[in-house]
Amino acid sequence: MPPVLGKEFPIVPPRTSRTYVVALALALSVWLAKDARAIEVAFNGAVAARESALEDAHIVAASGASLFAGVPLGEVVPLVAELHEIRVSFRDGSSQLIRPPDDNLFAWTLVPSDSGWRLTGSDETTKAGVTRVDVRAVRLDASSLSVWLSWEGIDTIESEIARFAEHFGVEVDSSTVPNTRAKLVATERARGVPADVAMIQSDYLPDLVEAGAIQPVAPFTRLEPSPGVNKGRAAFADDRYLWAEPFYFDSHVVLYNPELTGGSPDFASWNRDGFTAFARRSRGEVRAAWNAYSAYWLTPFVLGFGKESVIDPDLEYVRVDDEATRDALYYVLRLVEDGTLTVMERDAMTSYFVAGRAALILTGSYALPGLDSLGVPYEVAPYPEGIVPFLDFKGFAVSRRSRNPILARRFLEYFATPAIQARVAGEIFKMPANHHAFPLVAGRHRYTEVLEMSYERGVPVPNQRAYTVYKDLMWRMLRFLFAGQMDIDQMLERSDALILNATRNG
Amino acid sequence: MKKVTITLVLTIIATSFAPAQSGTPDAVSGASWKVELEGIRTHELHAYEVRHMMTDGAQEEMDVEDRNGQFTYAGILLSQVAAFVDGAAFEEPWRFDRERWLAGYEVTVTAVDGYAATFDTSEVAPDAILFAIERNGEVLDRPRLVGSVARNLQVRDISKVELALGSSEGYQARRDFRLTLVANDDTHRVSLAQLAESPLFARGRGQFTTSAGSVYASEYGGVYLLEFLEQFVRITDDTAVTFVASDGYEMTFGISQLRTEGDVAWILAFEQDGAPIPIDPGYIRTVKIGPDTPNIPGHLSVKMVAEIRVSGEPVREYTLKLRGQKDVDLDRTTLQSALAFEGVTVTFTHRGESNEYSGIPLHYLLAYADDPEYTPHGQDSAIDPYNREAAMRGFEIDLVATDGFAVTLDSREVYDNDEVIVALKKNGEILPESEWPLVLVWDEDAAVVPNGIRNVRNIDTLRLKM
Repeated sequence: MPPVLGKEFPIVPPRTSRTYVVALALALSVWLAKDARAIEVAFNGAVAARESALEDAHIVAASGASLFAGVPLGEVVPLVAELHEIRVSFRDGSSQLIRPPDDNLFAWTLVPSDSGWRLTGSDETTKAGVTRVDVRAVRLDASSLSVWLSWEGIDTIESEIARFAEHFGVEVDSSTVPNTRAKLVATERARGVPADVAMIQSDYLPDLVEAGAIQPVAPFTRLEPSPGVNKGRAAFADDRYLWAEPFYFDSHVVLYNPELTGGSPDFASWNRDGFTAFARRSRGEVRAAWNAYSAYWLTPFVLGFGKESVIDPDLEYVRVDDEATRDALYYVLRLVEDGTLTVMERDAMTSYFVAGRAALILTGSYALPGLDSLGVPYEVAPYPEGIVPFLDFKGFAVSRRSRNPILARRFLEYFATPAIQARVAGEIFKMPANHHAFPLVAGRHRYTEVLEMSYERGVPVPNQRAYTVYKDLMWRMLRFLFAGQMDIDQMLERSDALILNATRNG
Repeated sequence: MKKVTITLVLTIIATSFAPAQSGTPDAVSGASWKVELEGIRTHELHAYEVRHMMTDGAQEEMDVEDRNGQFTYAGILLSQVAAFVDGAAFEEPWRFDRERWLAGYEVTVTAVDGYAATFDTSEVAPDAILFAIERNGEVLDRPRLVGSVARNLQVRDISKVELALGSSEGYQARRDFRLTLVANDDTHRVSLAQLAESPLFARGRGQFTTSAGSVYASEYGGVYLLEFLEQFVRITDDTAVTFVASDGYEMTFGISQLRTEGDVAWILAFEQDGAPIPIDPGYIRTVKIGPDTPNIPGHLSVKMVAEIRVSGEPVREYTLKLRGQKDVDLDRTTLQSALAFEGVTVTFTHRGESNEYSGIPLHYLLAYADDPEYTPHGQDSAIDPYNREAAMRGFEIDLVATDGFAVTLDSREVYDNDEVIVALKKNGEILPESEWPLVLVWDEDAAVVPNGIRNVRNIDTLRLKM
């Protein structure tokens, strides 16, 4: 029995923004006459799906376009190994032959419009009045896939994986791995059997690429004209390839206890000065705490003080002997000196906050669900203007020695679709990596607005080796600084030389 | 005077000169690609090698349907490609290790865009996959795999084929091993794969005797030691070479102990009896090889060599420019490698003083620029790269020094004349400043001494006036 269009994947759950509901209603309200809604989807000539009326629209978003309702072609036909052409027939008797640029059927969507169905791809849209779509392709004969998962929300991700497996009739074996970087590298070195797909984060790239543990996600090397806009893809790309398909992200956020901070800050003047004042007037044993020893937490301040990019594009290392770093350190040291900031490592800081002993901490949004479960009173704010949050992207990579690289790519394409990303991210308190999917997840959990604001101003954690070198060296040097064993100028001069040498000499 | 092998010397010149990122053009078809092969050994597979195998009877064809229609692909079996590096043979003819394939090992095929697919050979018949280089009679830009196998494996635009042969724990370690060479204050690191691909590679029998009187004789494969070191540092009589093993053992040699004596030479061996030397006593050990299985005391055969320290004068770079039907620049390492593999030594007498000069016969160098199309070993071996007709008809050859001094010779007197050489060494040493980097000399007993020949020193250009 061919699948019913739209039946396989439920519509976005009720917790949806008002604006979105209106948009959906409008989309559904422009139904055509019954005949115009008739459409047939075929696969190599044989009918795969037929539906005379669309009941449950599957909401997607086209890149660069506004939100619309439709059904990804990839969800209607079997998985393909090689996509040859798409033959489109229209109500007026005409036809169109599309030769897709790649094998990704999930990038093609059947969309209802006021004058009939259209077929929309990344770069083109047919005219309205589509009555038949015949996908000509080589069916994928792979039947099993293995996936390594990590971090939060694994149960939800596994549910989505199960849905993918059932829908397409493949076996997917997923397992939780504490550290996918270590496991991928170790497996490659030992010539073991890696999973076909593994979740990674962007700063894993240098180790994984160097070890030959992953392969580029070739179909996705055709990046948008402004890759800087798509921060998720920038997080997993170097100057040659896209190495993973981004899935979701976390962000640096400000966490505060309103009982100790005297309420929320004045968001009308939520900048570095406003943040400073907010922290200074807080009560509690500790007014503000974060791990100032770590460059991961210092760098947002450095960027906020005017550093244009973490890695110097000409010198190809993280230069620290510059004005922005100096200013950032003076700022942080002043907060320490006047008692506003207590430098604490992550576990201690979190314990203090949970115990109601710290009024304000800087943390990652990944920590928020844990706090919810503890019933701790807290509010979340984005980093203020003048402090640039890091965006921590997680994505799916294909192992270089995958036995099923094509099925792995189909998996990545499926999980790259906005609706799937929104559904999963909404459940696990993340944001979808595909920023076109933001409206789909708006309001689905309490942090969506903060995370969306963070995305606007944030930068991905750098994926170059130079960043890791900088982070590792600064860990030691910042301790000297905060211990008073060096002054800022001494520390920066020494650090810069060490970082440059370590970066150049591997 | 040593006889030179034309094919081998020009192979070295051709392979040393070929730009890193492109293959050698297949003159028949114009296809220019190379595929990295990695297995028990490594090999760069060029288009002309596959074509040669196809014309020699290894051609296979398969019909396949893809997005553009039905096509007939031609090439050789992937198993024949595996034969280059599966260890059954370390030289031509490449023997396919069928037993090993059927027992199963992993093969990873990578495309130029990074796409990679892996399979276990025990799950695929040796004749199931074609390494195709033609489609419907037309040459493909790069090879691809076709066959009655999963679509995954039908990789297009292949750049690399890896065979996971060797023990799992040793594989990566062997791949990661680097021989460290400390020359003056510079440190160089060389992989086993780079040594295996070096034009300095040689094989021969060698033997060492332990202090207990046990004798160990084997066939060893490795790189000529002195010539290898000369790539990084100038070797003189005062040079000392210290070998440091991974267990800390050190042995220092004076250079006189390491010099080549007739057909007996020291090598850095990394193969023993056809197989890579394992980490103990390898990956590298020092041995002498020669036709009569030369023997050395056991303590001089340093095993597990991890580092070599040499102090000497730094190497000076130079280029020989060949200008003719093609413009070609040959660098120092190319010329030195050619000399090391099998050069020619002549006795040249000048102003009553006789010296031994080692170099490359002049006519071999001319073959590189004497026609616009063919290069030595740049096409099917059935095609003669030498423009013999032009040489026999006669053209002028200018040998030009750095100060502009030039001598003109006739190709008819130079051609096939091994006794007229462009020398790189004098009495076993790099040329003195007055002659460096290259000098034209001829044997005192040469059968044909070209008219007008003079002892041109400091040569930097050969001009073929064709």
